Amino acid sequence: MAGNSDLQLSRRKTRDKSFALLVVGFVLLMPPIVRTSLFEGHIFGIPYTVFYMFSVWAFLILGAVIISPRLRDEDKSLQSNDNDKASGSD
Amino acid sequence: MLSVNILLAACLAYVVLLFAVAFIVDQRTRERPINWLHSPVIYTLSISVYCTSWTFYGAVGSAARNGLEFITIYLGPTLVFVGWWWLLRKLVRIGRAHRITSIADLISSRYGKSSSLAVLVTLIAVTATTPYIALQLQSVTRSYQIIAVGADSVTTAFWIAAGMALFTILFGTRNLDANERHHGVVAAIALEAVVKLLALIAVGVYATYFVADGFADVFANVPNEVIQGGDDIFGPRWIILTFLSATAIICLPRQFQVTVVENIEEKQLATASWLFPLYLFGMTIFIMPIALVGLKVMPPDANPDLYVLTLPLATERDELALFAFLGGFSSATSMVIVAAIAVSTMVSNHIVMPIALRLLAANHAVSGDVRNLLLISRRVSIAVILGLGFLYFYVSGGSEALAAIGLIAFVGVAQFLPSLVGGIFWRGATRLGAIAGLVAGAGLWAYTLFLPSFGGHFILSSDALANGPWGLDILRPQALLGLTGLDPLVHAVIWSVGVNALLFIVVSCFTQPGILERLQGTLFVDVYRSAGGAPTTQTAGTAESEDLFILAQRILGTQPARDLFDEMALAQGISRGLPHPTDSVVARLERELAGSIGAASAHAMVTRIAGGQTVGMNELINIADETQELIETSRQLAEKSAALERTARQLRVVNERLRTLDAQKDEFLSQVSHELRTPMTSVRSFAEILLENKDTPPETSSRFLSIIHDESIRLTRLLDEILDISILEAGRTELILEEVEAHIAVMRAIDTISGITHKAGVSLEVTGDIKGVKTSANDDRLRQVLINILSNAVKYNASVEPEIHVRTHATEMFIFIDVIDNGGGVSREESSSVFEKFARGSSAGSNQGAGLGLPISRAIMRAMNGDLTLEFAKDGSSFFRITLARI
Repeated sequence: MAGNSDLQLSRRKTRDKSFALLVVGFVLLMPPIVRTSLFEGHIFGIPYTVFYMFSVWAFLILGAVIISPRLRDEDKSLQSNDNDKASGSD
Repeated sequence: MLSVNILLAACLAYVVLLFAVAFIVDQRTRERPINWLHSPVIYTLSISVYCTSWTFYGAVGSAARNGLEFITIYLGPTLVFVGWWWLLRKLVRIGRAHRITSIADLISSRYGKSSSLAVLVTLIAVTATTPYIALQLQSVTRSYQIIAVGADSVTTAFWIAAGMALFTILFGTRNLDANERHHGVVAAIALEAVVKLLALIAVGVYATYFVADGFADVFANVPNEVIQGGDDIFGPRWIILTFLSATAIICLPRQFQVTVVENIEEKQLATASWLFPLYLFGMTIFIMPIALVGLKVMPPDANPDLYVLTLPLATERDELALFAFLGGFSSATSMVIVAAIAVSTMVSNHIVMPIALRLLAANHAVSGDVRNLLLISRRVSIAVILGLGFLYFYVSGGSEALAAIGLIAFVGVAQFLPSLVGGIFWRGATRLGAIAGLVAGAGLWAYTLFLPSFGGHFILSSDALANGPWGLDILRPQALLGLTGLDPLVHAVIWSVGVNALLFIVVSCFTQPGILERLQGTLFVDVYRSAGGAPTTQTAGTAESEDLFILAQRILGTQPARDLFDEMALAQGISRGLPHPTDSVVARLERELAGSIGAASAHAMVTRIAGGQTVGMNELINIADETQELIETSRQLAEKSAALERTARQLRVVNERLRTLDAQKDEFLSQVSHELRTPMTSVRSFAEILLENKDTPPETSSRFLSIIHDESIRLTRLLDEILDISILEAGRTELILEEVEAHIAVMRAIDTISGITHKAGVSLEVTGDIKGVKTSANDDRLRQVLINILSNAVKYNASVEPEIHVRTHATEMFIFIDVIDNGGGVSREESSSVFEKFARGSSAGSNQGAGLGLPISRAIMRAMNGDLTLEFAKDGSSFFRITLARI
């Protein structure tokens, strides 16, 4: 029982993290926060605004790379319905 | 300069390659599934059909005109995919569980398999897809015209449209797949996705590192206004564009097709959640540099929408230009193919099929092959859709910037969002709400954005555009009800999507869903709870198996239908012939058919054969709706709480017993210390007297010493008894049992106490005949018990002529030894306490032992599977009874 609830807890945590990532991405890319990138200057020769935008984007991708594989569904019954297709076509 | 012939040859070769890939994969999957086709990478690449020629050419144009704004078109999808767990996963799950074939199918299924909704969604999809296809034709035509200078745009666009229609018809409608998947097309699309990505990156790298000198050089001396697009870049338009792109990645018919319908495994989605944003990242990272380099290098009159192509051409890089052209060609063709498949599926399933059904219903004798009809209708639909795209291109004159056309389509499909998202998360959404929202939203979209996009050449005149129809200022399409000062796009989105959502919610609140609608709503909203496509409720079995089989044959084809029915028959235990038309068979058939022709048509067909009312009052009871679920949940809760209560009660009882035992233990300890204290006190005091008075007479001191001696013996005996009882009660000792003759044991015990009896003048009588009767006991211990009971009888007998009567008798199972005396016995009040430790008879003298004899005796008897009890005779006198098990 304890192991099961631990598993559920960690799943919920992963889900929460994924949601947090989404919210953070949304807030960073939408006004008013995105206005903070209206800042004259260059980083590595790239205008700050452009750099900001692509950095947030990269951050979102990185977050998804880390979180998504752990968000697998516990319900295996619907993982693949290709089997019935394969048997149906034989 | 790149020659037209080389270009055409390269294009032809590329198209042949696509054909070959699609053909080979299609052939192979027919034999057995190809594993790599199931890989999440292929899935992601097919989703990248989102990046059309609008991205390939138009994003650069957009970046050159409006700076960073183009990025919103990719941020929306990124957010949707990063948050896949909340929306996409549910869509995919529903799509698989209910064999959804298109977005129109999903929406119509959700709202009770409504065919009117399916038609409505299909019409909107066709209308919204038309400008998008026109956009692709336009970009390919224009890029072709760059190389083939002077080519007629209409002719070029026509041939491009015709070629694409051919490819789509060949590979998109080869078969009516069980679940509407097109492996060959997916493989070709994936190849195109790679080509367009590489082409764009190649041009980007070339612009950044060969024309310019790295990123720093690209951005050097670029005024901020260019990057930020002049006005306030992060205004309402930024939000609306992100919203639109996020919506489009879900609602565009072709995106729905690749993301939901072509999905094979849910884990593909987990990978796509980061791989697709990464793909978009790769596609866009060089957009800004290409635009900026183009602005610097190219003449001011060059169209920024074609920088990707013209930049390499202007710098004499023909091979790169060719690659770029193929990239643009790839992005256009992949979009057109998938969009045409998706929309033609909708048209044939939701518009052609219902009409065909009507005709079939009117004439039962016609055994028309529905399957052929479907395929033909799909092929015709594809041709019509591409024709419409061509027509749009022709009418609108193809003069606008690419981005504007794409956005028209985005707003069009955004009308699906309220019904779609509302439908899968909100049980209360109703069909009428969805229809009201869609009709109003689509109408407003057409009026505020779609018709104005023709620039006054189609339905709305330019005068009506500027001053409102009939000169009514308040109806100006781009300033409806006087809402001015907004970007036309923002204006259109606010009106169309806003009114759509509002009507959807309000009308849903005020209308009652039908029975099937409620059922479907529950199945969709709770898709994670109901495993798979739960069977829909069905008719009373009026269907004939033959009719159902004929229907299946017509749609699925003879062999697949045969297989399906054989399988269902086998499941019913019928080895030969057709299965009984049970509800589950009908439901299964409907689900299979839905995979080919959509839920609404499948439902209509099966219902027509199965006949009459689909859902009756009885079935309503079975509907797993809210009430039922609540009842079920509360029943489980009640069960749980009852179980908890039981446990609590048991715990209370156990706790009570523990408390009693604890109290007894305390009592016992205090008794023990009290009992030990009495002899100890006398021993100590006599010893002190002897120590202090050295001149005590010898006879006195010897008397004192003998008292000390006696008390020590009593102490020792007491301690022995305590030890004995604790061992016996804890069951820590196993008495060794042997065969004992009860009579002999009794007689020996009487012999042992004969000294006391004689001294006390007690007359002892033994009656009963148990000679030869044997029991299993420990001889010594049994004697100890007998002696204890007998000596008690002597000790506590206050009678003048004490008598003891030992009465023995045996039954089949037991031997009873009763010890009866005339000493008054134990009163009923005392009876419960005689076996308690340290309890002594009320008539006992002061120095009569510690009161452990009876508890020990009883513990011994119980350890020997017997017992010692206090019994009452009829006259109220009491006696002790020793019970032994007979062997």
